[in-house]
Amino acid sequence: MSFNQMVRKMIRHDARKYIFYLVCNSLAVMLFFIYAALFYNDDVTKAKMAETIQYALIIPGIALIVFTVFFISHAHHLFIKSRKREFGLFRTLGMTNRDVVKLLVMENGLIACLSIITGLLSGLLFSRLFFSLLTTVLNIQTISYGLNVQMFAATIMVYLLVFATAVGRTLYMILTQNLILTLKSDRVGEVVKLNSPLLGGIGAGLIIFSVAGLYLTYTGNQGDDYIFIWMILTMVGLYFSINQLSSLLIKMVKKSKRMYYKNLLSLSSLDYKFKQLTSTLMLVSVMIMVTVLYSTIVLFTYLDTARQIEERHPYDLAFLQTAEKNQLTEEQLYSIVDTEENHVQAHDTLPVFTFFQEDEYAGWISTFHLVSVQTFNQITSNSIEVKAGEYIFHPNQPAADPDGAYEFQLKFEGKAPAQSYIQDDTFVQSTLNYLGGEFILVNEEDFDALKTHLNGFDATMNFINVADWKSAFEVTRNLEAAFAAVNQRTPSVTSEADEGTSDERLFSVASKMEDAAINRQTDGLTFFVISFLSVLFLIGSFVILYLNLFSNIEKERLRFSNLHRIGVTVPEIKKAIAKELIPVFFIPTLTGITLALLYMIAMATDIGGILQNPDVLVNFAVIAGVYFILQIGFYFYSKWRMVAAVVKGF
Amino acid sequence: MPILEAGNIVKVYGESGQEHSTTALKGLDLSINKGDFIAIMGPSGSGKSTLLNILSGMDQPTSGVVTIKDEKISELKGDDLALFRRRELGFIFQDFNLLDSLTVKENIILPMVLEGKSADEMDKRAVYLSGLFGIESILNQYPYQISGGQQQRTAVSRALVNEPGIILADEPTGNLDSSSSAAIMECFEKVVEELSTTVILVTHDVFAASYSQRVVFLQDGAIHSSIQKQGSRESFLKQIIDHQRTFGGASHVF
Repeated sequence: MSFNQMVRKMIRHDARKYIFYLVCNSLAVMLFFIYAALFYNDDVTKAKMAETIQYALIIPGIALIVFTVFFISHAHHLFIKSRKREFGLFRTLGMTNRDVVKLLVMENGLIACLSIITGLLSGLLFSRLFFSLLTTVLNIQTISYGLNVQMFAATIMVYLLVFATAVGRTLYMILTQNLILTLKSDRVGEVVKLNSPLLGGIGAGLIIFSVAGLYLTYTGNQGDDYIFIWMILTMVGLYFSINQLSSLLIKMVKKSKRMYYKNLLSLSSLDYKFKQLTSTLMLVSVMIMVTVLYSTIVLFTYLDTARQIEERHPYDLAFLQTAEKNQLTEEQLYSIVDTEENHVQAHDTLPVFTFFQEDEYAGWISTFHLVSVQTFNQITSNSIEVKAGEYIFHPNQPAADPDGAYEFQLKFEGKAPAQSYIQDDTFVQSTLNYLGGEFILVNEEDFDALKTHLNGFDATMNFINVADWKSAFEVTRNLEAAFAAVNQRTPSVTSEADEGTSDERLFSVASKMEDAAINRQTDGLTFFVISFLSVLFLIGSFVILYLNLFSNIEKERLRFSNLHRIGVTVPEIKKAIAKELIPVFFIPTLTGITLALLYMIAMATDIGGILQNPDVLVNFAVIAGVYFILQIGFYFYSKWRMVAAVVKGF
Repeated sequence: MPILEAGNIVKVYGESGQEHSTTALKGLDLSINKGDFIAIMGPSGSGKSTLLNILSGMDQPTSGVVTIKDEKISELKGDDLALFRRRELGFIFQDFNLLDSLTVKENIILPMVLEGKSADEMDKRAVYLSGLFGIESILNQYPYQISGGQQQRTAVSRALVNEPGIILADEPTGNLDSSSSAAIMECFEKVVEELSTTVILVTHDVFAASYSQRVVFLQDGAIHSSIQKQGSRESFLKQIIDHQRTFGGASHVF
């Protein structure tokens, strides 16, 4: 039997270990490729130039790179721990260092090649699946799936870099380490490492510092520039604190002997597990954080946009009509708008006088609608009063400062009235669908008098509600087409030279349907990217936790079977498994959710602070709750699987 | 009054009567009194380990009854059996079977922990047993930091911690050098003399067997013979070696 044959035989015997190692590596490659497929997607790249979604990609990008580094090193470490003893044995039997290096490099080289192939193939499959699923579910047409060289190159490069580093480190250790230690490596590896609550404290301090730092720097547009620094600091802090958390807990529990002895089995195993699983738990915490944070952003954006659409459109659709423009007879209009499945529920009209006026400071032409406050009150159920000779400026839009006094001065070019008009108040709010201009509210008598002094035309605002606006997209489009056909035949009422006003703007249909559609396409990309990442990270966190728990299943089996031999009952074993799994599952969940909350509070300064947007907190609670329930389900599933695997054959 | 009685124990591996079935024990009877120190010896494949596994309830006999302290353990199932083992029996294994994640002291008190005893009780017991077996100085060390002999003494302490009636040891000196073996066997002597606990030992080590009071020889799944200790350990050792020679010779008559 040649040496090569012997090696092959050993590989067959340890097939499980090799397969596990391969699966871990392929998984890392796959996840990274799926991310790369998004990051280097042509549509996303274009949008990145505009920097609208840059921020959405930063945190997951860092998390994923750190993930790749830790996950691969960890898998490699697990794998090599069991192989090291064999290498030690080979060397005692007279194998040279050269042979060891050759064997290791060949073995790992093969694993790397296979991992890249399987990882890329599964990555291709899943990214494709992801894209089509999400574009269908979210109904987004602005992003299309595509492949390019960069995706493959980046994935392979990052993977090989990380993998080669891990292998190089092992080579160095094996060649320099004492032979006896190598032989005993299977057991020495279990030595409880550095115990230092101080280090844990520093870790916790780092987390607080990074969140505070994010909070202070995340103002305005520069926030994104620093976010990656804070993210890295948070991860480092998290690593140390998780690493030391168990020591701290045990130290505390040890103060009560009764408590300590009562939980002896699970506590010691916890300490041992936590040290071993530190990197995994940190990664899972971060992934949960990203998932929860991003899902909250997605949900908030979605609901907030829907809310804004509702708010800005008290009526489902609205349009401005003059003697010539948008001129359809009642019959023509209803033949389009009033359909069998979707009847018109309300049709209100508001006579206005539309006029143009140059902005004093900016110099551009703006459009205004002069309206009698009495008719305005009727349609909006308001009770605003305007005295004769006065007027109220009503922008009909939500403003940054709702209490601000916006000044507006009526100007009369050449045909000034005898009486002067003064601004009484500003009424900043969104009351009616916005139809190309702001409102000037005046007394009914002044309405007729003022018309003659202003440069404009009589018009009627039409406001229509249908039974179900969500199914009236087609109606809106048909109406617009009909208007366009009519308007083509009549001369323009606005000055062509000015960009601020145009017939198109003034006579467009302001509808919920149109806004919702526009929104889905423009914000859709960000929405898509964020949803994509949160789903990716959700799946990723589950898979990592599961793989890690079950990589040690043989050892766990042996441990529990030893316990069974000295009289530990099966229910006691089940209880011990549950006690050991609970922290492994729920500490990262709680940590991740807490971090997500802190990050969200910090990032909410962008939209005026968390207190101004209590909805964010509600959305967050929903997402965190859903995640928690998912994790509980996952915990029960894993426990069930673990108990089955451990207890089998007792 | 015997503490352990085994009547007509038969153990067949595989389907009885089938071509591939192996009969490991052929209707074996054994009676052990409280305070006995018995060694079971025999060549490989004679059924020593099978017998010990059945006596301890880890394995079920194909037929026959094992009674320990008036409890028919061959009829106990699942968790009742586990609880019975934990309370009435102590086990010692060739490979020590300690948990690497626990210190020596924690390993010793583990069965008490499972019984939910008070912390004071556990501390006292750990101090007493470690003192008895000379491992008090390593109580806070981990298994991988101490020698094989120390690990086995830890295992002996663990086996005794719940004050069982019977200690069952499967090749306890199999992984130890001669001086560690002697130390362990002296531990067993103490167990019998000072704690009046019954010890049943399976071994192929004549030196270890010479510490017992009676040696039962197994051959082909049945008791071949047994010899009782009379006089000093040295003379008993000689007696066992002599007996084994004739006995061993008998199996090679061709």
